Amino acid sequence: MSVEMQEPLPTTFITKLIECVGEKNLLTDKNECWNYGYDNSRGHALPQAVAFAISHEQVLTIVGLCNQHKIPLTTRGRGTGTTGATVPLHGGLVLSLERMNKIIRVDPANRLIVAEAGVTNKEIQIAAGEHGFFWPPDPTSAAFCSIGGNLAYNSAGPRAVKYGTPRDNVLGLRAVSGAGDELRTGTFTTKGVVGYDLTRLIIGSEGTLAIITEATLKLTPLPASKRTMRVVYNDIFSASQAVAAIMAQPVTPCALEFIDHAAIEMIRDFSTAKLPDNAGALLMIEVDGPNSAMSDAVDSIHEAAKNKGLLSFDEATSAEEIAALWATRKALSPALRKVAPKKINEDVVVPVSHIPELINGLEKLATQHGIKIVNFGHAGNGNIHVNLLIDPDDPVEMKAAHECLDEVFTLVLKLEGSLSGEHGVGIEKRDYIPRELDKNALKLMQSIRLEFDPEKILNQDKTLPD
Amino acid sequence: MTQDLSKEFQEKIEDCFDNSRCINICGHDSKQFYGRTINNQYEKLSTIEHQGVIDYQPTELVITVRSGTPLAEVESVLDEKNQMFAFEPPQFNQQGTIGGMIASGLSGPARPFAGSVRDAVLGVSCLNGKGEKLVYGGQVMKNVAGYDISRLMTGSMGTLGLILDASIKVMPKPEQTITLVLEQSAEQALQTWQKLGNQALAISASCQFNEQLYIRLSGNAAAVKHAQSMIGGEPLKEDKQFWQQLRDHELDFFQGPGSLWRLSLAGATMQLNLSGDTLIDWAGAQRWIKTDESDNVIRHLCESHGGHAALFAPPDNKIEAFHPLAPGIALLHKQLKQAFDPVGILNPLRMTADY
Ligand SMILES: Cc1cc2nc3c(=O)[nH]c(=O)nc-3n(C[C@H](O)[C@H](O)[C@H](O)COP(=O)(O)OP(=O)(O)OC[C@H]3O[C@@H](n4cnc5c(N)ncnc54)[C@H](O)[C@@H]3O)c2cc1C
Repeated sequence: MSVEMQEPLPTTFITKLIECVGEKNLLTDKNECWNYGYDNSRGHALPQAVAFAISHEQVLTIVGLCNQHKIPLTTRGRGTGTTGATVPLHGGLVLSLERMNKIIRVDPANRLIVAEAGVTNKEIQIAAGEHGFFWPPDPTSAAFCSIGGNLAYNSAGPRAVKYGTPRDNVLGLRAVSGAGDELRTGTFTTKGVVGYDLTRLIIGSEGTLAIITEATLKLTPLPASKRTMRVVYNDIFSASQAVAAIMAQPVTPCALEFIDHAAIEMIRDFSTAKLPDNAGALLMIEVDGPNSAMSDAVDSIHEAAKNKGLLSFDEATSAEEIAALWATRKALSPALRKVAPKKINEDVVVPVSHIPELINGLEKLATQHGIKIVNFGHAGNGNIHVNLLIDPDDPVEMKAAHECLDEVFTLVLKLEGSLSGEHGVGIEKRDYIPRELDKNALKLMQSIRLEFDPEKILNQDKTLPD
Repeated sequence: MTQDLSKEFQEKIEDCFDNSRCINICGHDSKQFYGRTINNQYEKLSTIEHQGVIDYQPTELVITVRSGTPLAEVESVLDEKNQMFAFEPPQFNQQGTIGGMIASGLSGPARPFAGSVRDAVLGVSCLNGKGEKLVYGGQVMKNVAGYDISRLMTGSMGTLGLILDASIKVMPKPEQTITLVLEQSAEQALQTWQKLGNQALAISASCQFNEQLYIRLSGNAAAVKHAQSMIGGEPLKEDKQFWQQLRDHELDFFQGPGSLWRLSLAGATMQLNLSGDTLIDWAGAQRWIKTDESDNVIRHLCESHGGHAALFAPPDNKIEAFHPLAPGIALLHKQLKQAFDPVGILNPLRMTADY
């Protein structure tokens, strides 16, 4: 990624930074800064300095300094984002929160946990689990990603279909606005809101409005048991019909994952997983709840899953059986890695009833552009991961991929969908945003951004186009 | 009735913007008592003839409705497909429109277990204070493109824009519902909620008053039976009516003497030392109190427990209806209001004395 010629950071700025975080919490050496210039997208840009804050007060001071000196500021959790939101496009300072990793309070009586933004999702799950709870957002990157990043991106995983995304599972925030003001939003009660809902406004804003230093997360009791089902259909129409029927009955599954025909073929090629010959689409379904309610829940799902295209319905109860059923789904990632280690992975959303049209449209685009496309994802809420299996080092393939992606987004919007369900906008999708948001809405978002960050120091040129 | 008045509303607001004329947006006026009293000299802009279900796909679990549509009408449309709004919106005096439901942001007894109206609003289209039409979000369950404005509009009391229509998430109705009653004091109930709170039980509402603890269970037959065996108590007859009366403030409790305050507290907070009758809802997180205590005493006490207090039906603006905001947050609110409504013509002073 190209970076314009940058002025060196003012010496007084660096001196003040050292005063604030201490020398051992500041990097200015190019080689050391390099590692903080990328995330899990293809982007990279060299930051001029990297500061590791260890307290809210330090963040407050740092934002003040950046405002005073007009230094671009990029907040970074663990850098696992996939859309370039932590890439410091204009150099400046990267503020890493990875050392703000304390769990401040676990409060089982009020079902909440208060933690600093740099704590990983997995650490939260462990701390909550000790008291019989969990925090619903479950991105696959849970072991590495920070809750600050989860909130900034509104990241989620399979469980969102039943338990919602971070927006639904956060009670309040402590944050520093782009203007350098301290904010406390929300309350310790059941998501009580006084005034406008700033908590939800900041969640999903990708670090463009405020830096989250602390979050109060709402916990959910761990269910006593779980059942896993694998259901195979002869085509995508039958599978989508089943998804709609499953979502419309009262037992909401805690996972409703889907993989398409191209993905099934891939699993066949690269694993020993056994699937019916004419399998055209596969659903992995999980239900949770008290032990005694499980068999009724499975029956309800089975009933809803039945249609003309149903080829097989397998249910697992024991740990081994569950592992065996998931093996099919889990064989997919290594297979994809073998075929296209640097694939492009998009996460679009369409209404559930439009999934077949989306998948058919994608098949056509794949043929038209000579690109293999494999789709899987969270079918229960129409959030589909569209994978373009290309080699980004091949300029011809890359060009075809860009043209294809453009048409993928057009298709998604035609189907009344959204460009992203969980991976966010960052740099990667910024220029497509005006296609989804209307002109007035975009203008208003830009003015909200200015209210929070008048000097435009936070994640400049990301998330919203100018 | 189906009628689209977007154009008329737009022209009206444009005109008011040009002439700095204030307007009072209203639906059925069923929640007029809620929040600050608005100057009755302001021109009324009623949404009630802007009606109709624009789109309803039961299998997509979402309904898109014009703001003036009566809530009762929408609920009966959902009922036909055995679906519902999971957040149990109140219908004071059996009235209320979809726009009012969203603008007031009020949810009923199911709220801590099934989410709030905010959780359910997936998209809105609205007119800002210049009369510009803005569309946010959509009909899909997940969407991270841009800021979450739909949720900002929810509960903003019409101060940020006139809601034209909204897409709202709906849920299938549970297979079975029963309510159990146990003789328990407030202190005992708070302990019971603690014990039950760390188990995944099929509880869909729970409140305590008059030495009785009420627990509603909803789910499939086995899940309800399981929870019932854990909780005990006696089944309540006419339980549907009971929860409706609680939701719509029709229980005798709400008619008693004293001002009605709503305290929002962390569920496990002990009983506060305030005079007057208390009804605890939301398994401890929402406490209704009928009291003559001063606003200072009430708010101070709530704050000391990390909560906040609203005077639910203030007779006038002498006492602020909503809990005062911290200075930094208050400033941001003002700036947000300015971004949506630069001249300040939409429901002025409805939320705070500042704008
Ligand atoms: C293997 C893998 C699997 C993944 N699986 C999923 C998945 O299943 N679902 C999913 O949604 N995502 C997934 N992701 C994407 C990514 O892990 C998530 O988006 C995650 O939430 C990012 O967290 P992070 O700490 O790495 O944030 P970063 O990448 O460091 O930052 C992301 C954004 O948040 C901002 N930010 C970070 N911290 C703060 C803060 N404290 N305050 C304000 N802004 C902040 C940054 O400026 C940036 O805009 C996956 C990524 C990988 C590599």
